[in-house]
Amino acid sequence: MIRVKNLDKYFGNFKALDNVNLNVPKGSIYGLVGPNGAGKTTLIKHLTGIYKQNNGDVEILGEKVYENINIKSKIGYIPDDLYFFPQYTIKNMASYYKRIYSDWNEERYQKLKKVFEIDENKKVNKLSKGMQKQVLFWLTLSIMPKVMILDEPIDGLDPLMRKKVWNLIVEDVAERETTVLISSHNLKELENICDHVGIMHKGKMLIESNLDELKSDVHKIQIAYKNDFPTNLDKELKILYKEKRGSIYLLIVKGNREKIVSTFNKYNPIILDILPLSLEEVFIYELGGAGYEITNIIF
Amino acid sequence: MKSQTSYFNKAIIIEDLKRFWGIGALYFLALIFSGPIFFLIDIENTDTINSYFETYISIDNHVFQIIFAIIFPLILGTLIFRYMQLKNSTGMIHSFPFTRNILFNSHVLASSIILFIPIFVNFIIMFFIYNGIYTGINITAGDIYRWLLVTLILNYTVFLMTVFTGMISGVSLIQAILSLIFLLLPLGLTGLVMLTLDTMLFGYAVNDTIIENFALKVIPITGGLFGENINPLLIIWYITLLVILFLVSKFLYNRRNLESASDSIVFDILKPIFKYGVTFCSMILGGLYFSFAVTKNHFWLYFGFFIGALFGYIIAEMIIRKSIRAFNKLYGFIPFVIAAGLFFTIIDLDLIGYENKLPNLDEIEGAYFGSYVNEKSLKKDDLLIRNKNGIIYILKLHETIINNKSEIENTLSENRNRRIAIGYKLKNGSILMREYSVPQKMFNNNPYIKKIYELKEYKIINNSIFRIDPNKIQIIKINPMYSNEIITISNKNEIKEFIEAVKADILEESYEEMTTKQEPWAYINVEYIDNVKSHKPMIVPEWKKSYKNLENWLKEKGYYEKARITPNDIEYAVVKNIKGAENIDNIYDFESIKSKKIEIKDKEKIEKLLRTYENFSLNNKQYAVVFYLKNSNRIIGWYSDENVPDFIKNSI
Repeated sequence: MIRVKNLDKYFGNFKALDNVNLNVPKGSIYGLVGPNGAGKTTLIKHLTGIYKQNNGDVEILGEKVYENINIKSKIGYIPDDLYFFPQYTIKNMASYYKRIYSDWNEERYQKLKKVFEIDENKKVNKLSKGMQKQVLFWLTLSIMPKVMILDEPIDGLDPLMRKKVWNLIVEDVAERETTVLISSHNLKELENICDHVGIMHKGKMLIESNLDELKSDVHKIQIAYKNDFPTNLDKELKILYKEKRGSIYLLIVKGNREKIVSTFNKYNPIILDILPLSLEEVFIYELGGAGYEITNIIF
Repeated sequence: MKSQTSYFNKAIIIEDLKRFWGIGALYFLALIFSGPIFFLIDIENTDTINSYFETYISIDNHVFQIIFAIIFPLILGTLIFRYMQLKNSTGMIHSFPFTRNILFNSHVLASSIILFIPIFVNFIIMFFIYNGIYTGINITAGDIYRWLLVTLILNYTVFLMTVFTGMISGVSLIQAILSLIFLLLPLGLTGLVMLTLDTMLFGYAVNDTIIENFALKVIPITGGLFGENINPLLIIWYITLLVILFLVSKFLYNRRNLESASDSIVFDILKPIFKYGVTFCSMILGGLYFSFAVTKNHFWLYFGFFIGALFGYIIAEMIIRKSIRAFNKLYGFIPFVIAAGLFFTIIDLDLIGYENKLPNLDEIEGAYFGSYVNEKSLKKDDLLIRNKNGIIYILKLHETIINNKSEIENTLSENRNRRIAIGYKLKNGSILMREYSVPQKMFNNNPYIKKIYELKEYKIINNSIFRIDPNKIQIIKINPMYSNEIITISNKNEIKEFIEAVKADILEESYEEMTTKQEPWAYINVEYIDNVKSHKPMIVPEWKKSYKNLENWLKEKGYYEKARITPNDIEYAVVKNIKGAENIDNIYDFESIKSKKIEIKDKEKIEKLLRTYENFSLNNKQYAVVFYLKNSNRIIGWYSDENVPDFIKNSI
């Protein structure tokens, strides 16, 4: 659905994107995570046809995005820094969107009016930033996008509105198989909604994965043995992290869950608990193992 | 709604019209309030309306319209493409389903409409005024169409120039400033470079062909559309210019990286061009500033060049970096200094041989001598001296000037008050021209100048009376100095004889008589018919005191007594010896000068005094004279020791 291949982008001499690859399957919600300056917004501006890449391909729905009216009219984009025409009311903006987006759905626009509860005749630039973001969600959802690209979308929204917005997005994905890409620097925020995650750092895509697969592949285990910790285990299992708390060991282990449990059981543990792992922890241990200082990236 | 065609998007055009129609409305009001409204207010006074209307329709006489034609399209161009200069709007707008070509075309079309409507409505109004109110004869319907065409070209040129600069800059303010600079660049830069060459090269003559045919006309704002006749080729060029600006801007839009919004200069390749361009211009400005402000001293000239260049380089660097911390980024300045140094060395040491160049006598087809020279007058053959001796005199004069270069250049510029222009048309068709400012003394003492002045050919060239067909002269009017009498001669034969007498006098005139500091007896208006122009042209020769042929003819015909002030018109004269007098500078306050004086009533003596007094130059005056006329006028003059009549010299 969204496919980015070997994307390079230079800002002057600075390489902002370095051989970035990205794949978002249809109907999925993809979380793009990374610290400030990682290149998330730059990548997104390529996805929306704003920036022209130096190398590589950016395709949505199988077509190149840049200068492609057909594809761009199917993309709903919420940028990080909003822009509305000066002096325009929500109604004015809506009629503009109506003119330029061929799939504009008036019925949905009217329906969403009740969700957002903002006076249509207010000038958009007079609204607060959070309100403006809601207006843009309202407009964007009304163009019936096949793809939604959201750059830090819930920044500045109050918790109630966050929930509403998430619901709208999830609903849309469920009903219309919309493909969604959301960027955020906050992994926790995306954990409950995304099914795919890509992590960027310094212009590179560090890792891209299906969350369920990822979660089923890394396990947090509390274990205690009567005697000392069997040294053989270090060789038999891929232990990403090991910490001793009294007589109990806390381990992060990568691999098939059943295989891991059976391996531990071979040495007759006194305690063996498999604990839930947060997405954050998955990345920290997964990437920490790979040699990255991932703790600095995810917070 | 889908775009109507693949070139435009209706939604963009409509939004532009909705958002920016106000600029068009303001432009319309500006046009109306600077013109047509007055015609309606003052509707009874037809003469005023007629002349007002005529001024309004010829744009070059109506500076407001030119200012409007710059300001409004400049503002519109800056605002319409404002979205590209802000990070958030450029992102948002370009994420909409348009291609850049559609955005560009639609914005340009919308702006063209916004500018067109006020101009067109004003055009219609002027048509009504022309048909309904205007009663003069100087304007035709064609002039109104011309107004429309010229106004549209001016507006669209400024607009598209602003669009162009909008594509190369990411800051609206810089966009607007660059647009203004580019509009004036051909004229400004040519002028500056020529001024610089003038201060550096001894004898440099401004190349008027470049100024007139290129610098003034290449951009319509600076002149090509003004004046009576517009060259159709020029119109074609202006339309081509619009097309070029449009296409180049569109090309640049497609090449532009949107992330460079808010960068001063968007394209890397243009940054050094911008930087060195600014450095060059401010180098020249600096040099000129110091050369005029301090003295014509070469040290200060080069100091000015250096300071100007450094200043410009730092400013340009600051603009590009958008930071005032550019003082430590000067390594790019070094190659510029080297290149400029090399260039100035070549010019200053005259390695191109400009200053010493003298054509060979046998190469020369004709030579020109005067105070100013331009290519046009050299190409007009009727201003050239072809007489071999004449050419030799001019060459010799030229050579003398070149040989005295250092003496001339060491004279203070305020004392170099005599201009000499020399030009040659060579047999191979090329042209060589030089202009010098030399001290008056050097001019007076040069033997060749006297010889040139006394050449028959030179006299014929410099007196338009030789080029008039006496049959076309309708009337001659003699206006004597200090008298209200006007003598009119309209008899055809008398006119012919009169002209012949003046011609003979001119041909007999010596250099000293030609350069006299005396007033003439009278000015003569010669009115003649010219087939080309509708109004009556006129030449105004003088009746100099040395013109004996004319004097005799006037006596013969009985005009003499009234054609000049004679002793009969004078009550008496007072002469004062003003050697060493105090307030000598204020000679016109004659009565307050306290010194020896003599009163003269004798007619013969008065005639002598009348024939010899001078009044064009204040140097060397030793005696002052006042003639008290019967008509209560006064004539004030003076004498030097050389030309004072003996009876004065002997008595006071």
